[in-house]
Amino acid sequence: MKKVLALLLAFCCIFVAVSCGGDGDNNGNGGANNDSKVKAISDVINNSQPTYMDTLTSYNVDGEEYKGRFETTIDKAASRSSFTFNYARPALVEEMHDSPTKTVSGTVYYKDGQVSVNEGDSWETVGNKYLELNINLDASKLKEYTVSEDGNSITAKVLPANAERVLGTVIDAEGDISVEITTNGTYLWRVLVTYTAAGTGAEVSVDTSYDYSIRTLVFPGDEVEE
Amino acid sequence: MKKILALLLVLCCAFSIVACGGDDDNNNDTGNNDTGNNGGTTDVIESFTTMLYESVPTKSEVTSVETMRSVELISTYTLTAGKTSDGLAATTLISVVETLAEDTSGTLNPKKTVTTREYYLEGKGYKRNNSAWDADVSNFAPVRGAIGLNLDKSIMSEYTYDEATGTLVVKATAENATALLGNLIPEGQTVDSDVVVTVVAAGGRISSIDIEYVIEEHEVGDMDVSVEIKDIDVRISAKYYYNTQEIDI
Repeated sequence: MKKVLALLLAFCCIFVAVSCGGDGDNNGNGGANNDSKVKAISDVINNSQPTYMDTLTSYNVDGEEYKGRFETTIDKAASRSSFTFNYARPALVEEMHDSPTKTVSGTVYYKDGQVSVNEGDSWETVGNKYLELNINLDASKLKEYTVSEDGNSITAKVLPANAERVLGTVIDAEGDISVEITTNGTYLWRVLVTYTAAGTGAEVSVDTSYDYSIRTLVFPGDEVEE
Repeated sequence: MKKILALLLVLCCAFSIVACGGDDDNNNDTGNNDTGNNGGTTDVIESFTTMLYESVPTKSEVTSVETMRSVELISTYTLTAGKTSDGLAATTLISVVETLAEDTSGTLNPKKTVTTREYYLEGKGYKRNNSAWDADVSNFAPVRGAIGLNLDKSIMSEYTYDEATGTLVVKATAENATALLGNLIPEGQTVDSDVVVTVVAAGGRISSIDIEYVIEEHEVGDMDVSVEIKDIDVRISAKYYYNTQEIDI
């Protein structure tokens, strides 16, 4: 389950937007071996600046499915963001008197270089960027791939050894990791990652949708104009 | 009220996707019956037309507010398309419609609310409320196809585009209302004002559509004689979402 969280956090990004036109990172996909179509999709990913990311996770083991939803919202005008999580996991021994399943939920708020995990009661200083989008499509690191006819989307298989390079996080998988990336040629729309977790044999799915609508966030403690 | 239904159901729609990656216009664009492009960049009207055809929302929320004199009737339609926990394709349409109720108690302008739940489930078919599943799905229209907006510059009195917010505002006279809104105007309904349509796009997809106009309705009295003409202000707001939906049926 922790590995799933690490993966989804790699797909969610909370930026410090200095201005509405903040520059996207270009992690670089240079190299003569990189297929031009793959690079084109990689460029779309690196240049996309979503304002909302919604990730659905599914962790299916021994007939039990544990689901989660993680939402990142970015208010570019106010340079602030929020990360809301709600997920289920197997209960720890000390938690089992209530239910065999434990639900964890909460919201993390970010503004002005600080983060709050307690509804704004206290704020801690963090670095300039909380998380980064680290999908790095390097054709040479894909076991196999198919680019759609319009050139906007790709389905690929990634060896676990290359997961960190391609997806920005280590994935302890049994067999290949499947990746589906959908764009419209300009904007990243969806990333779906599925694999079988090594050891547990759990079937894992991390499904992230991206949106670009203007978002306005109201934080706890904000003065509300009448 | 019933005459609004076709319009609202079409606004609650899942489009067929035809991927071609239309780009947003990079220039502020205003026009008054002009038909030119902006120095070779994609014309904003063409761009929005493409997006209207290509957007495939997973969720549509449409709210209609009809105001007649002091009475406000609010209806909402929520269309959701996704998969169940078993991985089956499913669509739901929840309609909550306010209408004027017949009330013999003397209550002024009584209202009643009618809620309808329609479902489509892969392998099962269609059902409404608590009915049995019907394998014939022709009764259910998770409408696929382009929304009925006809962004034709020749029928617009004016249009403006704000690139910063991705907002296109289109105005048309009452005479061109049907041409602009197409099949969104139910047959028999007379538009009695300019029509204002506001379309917001983000990330290459339609985020929202707002429509405002006034319709003229004739109240029919005894012996089918029209006794009163009423103006009804119509405001329709549609919001579209594209994240993965989980459906419970």
